Amino acid sequence: MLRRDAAIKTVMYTNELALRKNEDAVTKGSALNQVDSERNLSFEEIFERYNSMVYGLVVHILGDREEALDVAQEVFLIVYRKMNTFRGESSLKTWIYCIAANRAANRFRWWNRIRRRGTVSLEEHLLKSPNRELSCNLRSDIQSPEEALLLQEERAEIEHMLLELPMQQRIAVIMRDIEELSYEEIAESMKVSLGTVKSRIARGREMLKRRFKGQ
Amino acid sequence: MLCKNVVPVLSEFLDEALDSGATVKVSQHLDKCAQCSKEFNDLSMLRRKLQSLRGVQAPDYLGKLIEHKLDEMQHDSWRKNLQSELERTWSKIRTTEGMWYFTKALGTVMTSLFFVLISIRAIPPAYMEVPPGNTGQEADSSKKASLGDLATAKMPQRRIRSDAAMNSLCLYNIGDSISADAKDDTFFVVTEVDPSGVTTIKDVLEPPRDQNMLSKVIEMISSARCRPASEKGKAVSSHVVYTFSKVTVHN
Repeated sequence: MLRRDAAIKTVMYTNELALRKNEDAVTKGSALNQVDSERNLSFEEIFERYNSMVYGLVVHILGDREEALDVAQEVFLIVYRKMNTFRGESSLKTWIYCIAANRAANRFRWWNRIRRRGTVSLEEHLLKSPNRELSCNLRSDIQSPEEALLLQEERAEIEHMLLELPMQQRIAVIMRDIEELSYEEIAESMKVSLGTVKSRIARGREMLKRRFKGQ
Repeated sequence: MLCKNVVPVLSEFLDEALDSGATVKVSQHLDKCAQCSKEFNDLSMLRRKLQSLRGVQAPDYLGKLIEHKLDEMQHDSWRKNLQSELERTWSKIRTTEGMWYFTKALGTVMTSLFFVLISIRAIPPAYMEVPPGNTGQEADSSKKASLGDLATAKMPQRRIRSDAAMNSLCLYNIGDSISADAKDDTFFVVTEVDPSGVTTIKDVLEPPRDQNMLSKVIEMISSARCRPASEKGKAVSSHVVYTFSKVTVHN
C-alpha cells in the first residue's frame, strides 16, 4: 500500500516537472517571438507605441514640459539611428526606457552644471514656478472645477517632492509607481541588479513619505 | 516577525514582490502591529498619490517635430553618418580595455616616430646648403661676419658636418685674415655647381684690389660641396653668383 502511494507520488511529481518544463519552454518561446516581432517594427510603429511612455517618463524626471519635449525628440532620434543595432538582448520597451532615462538624467546634470556657472537650475526654476506643471497633459475624469483644482495642486506638490529625490531613486520610483514597470524591467532599464532596484525604490518612497509627513 | 524586520520590506510587500512565506508573515504582523500597519497605510497612500500622475500624453506635435528633425538629418546624412560612426568607434575604443590600451600604445609609437623623423629632417646633409635662387644669403652672412658679428657668425657652426663646407665662419675667418688695406673691397664670383655638388669657378667679375682675398675665396669655394639644384626631382647643373664685400668698421 505504502509502495503504491509512493509510486503515485513519484508519477505526480514527474508530471509536475514535465508541466513546468513545458511552461518554461512556452514562456521562452513567446518571449523570443515578442523580441522578433519587436525587431520587425517600423520606426512609425515604435513611435506610435512608445511616444507617450517616453514623454511621460522624461516629463516626470525633469518636471518641465518644454525640456521633456526636447529630450523626447532626442530619444526618438537615437532610437531611429540605432534601431538597426538593436539586437533584442533586452525588450524594446526597456531599451527605449534606458535611453530615455539616461538622456533625461544627462539633461538634468547639464542644468546643474549651468547652475554652477551662476545661472538658474532646472530644479530652482521649477520650484519657483509651481504652476507650470504637466496638468494640461494629464487625463482627468473629474468634472468639478474645485476638484480639478485640488487634484492639480496635489499633483504639483508630488512633482516638487519627486524633484527633491536623488536622481537614481527618482527614476526608480517613477518607473515603478507611475510607469508601472516591474522590478525586472526597471533593473534592465537602469542596468543595475534587482536588489539595487528594490533598495532605490524603498529609499525613495521612504524619503517621499517623510516629506509628506513633514508638511 | 519583529517590526525591525518588517519595516524594510514593506515597500516590496506593497508591490507584492515578496515570496509567499514572507508575504504571510508580514501580513500576520501587520494584523497585530498598529505602528507597522500605519507605516504601510502611509506607503499605500503615497503610491496612490504617485499613481495620480499617470496618464501623461505626449503632445500631438511631437511626431511632427521628430519628422522635421529626421528630414533635416537626411539632408546631411553623410555628415551625420560619419559623426555617428566616429562616435560609435570612439565609444567602442573607450569601453574595450584591450582596444583602449592598443590605441594608446599605437599613438605613443606613432608620436615618437613622428618626432624622430622631424629631428632627422632637421639635421642638414653633409654638404653645404645653397638653395638655388637664394644665393645672396651666404653673402649676407659674410657681410655680418666681416662686420665682426660673432654671434651670427658662430650660429651656423653647430650645423657644420664637413670641413670643406663653405659657411659664415669660414667667411669670417677670411675677412679677418685679409689686410686692412683692402678697405671696402667688393667682388663677384660666378660658380657652377654640377649635379654631384662639386663647385667650380667660372668667372670673377670686378676682381678685388687685395689678391690675397680673392685667392682665399677661390680656394674655399673650390673645396666646398654645394647642394645641386633640382628639376623635376633630378639634380641638374646650375650657376651661382657670390658677392663678397670687405667692410672695415672704425671705432
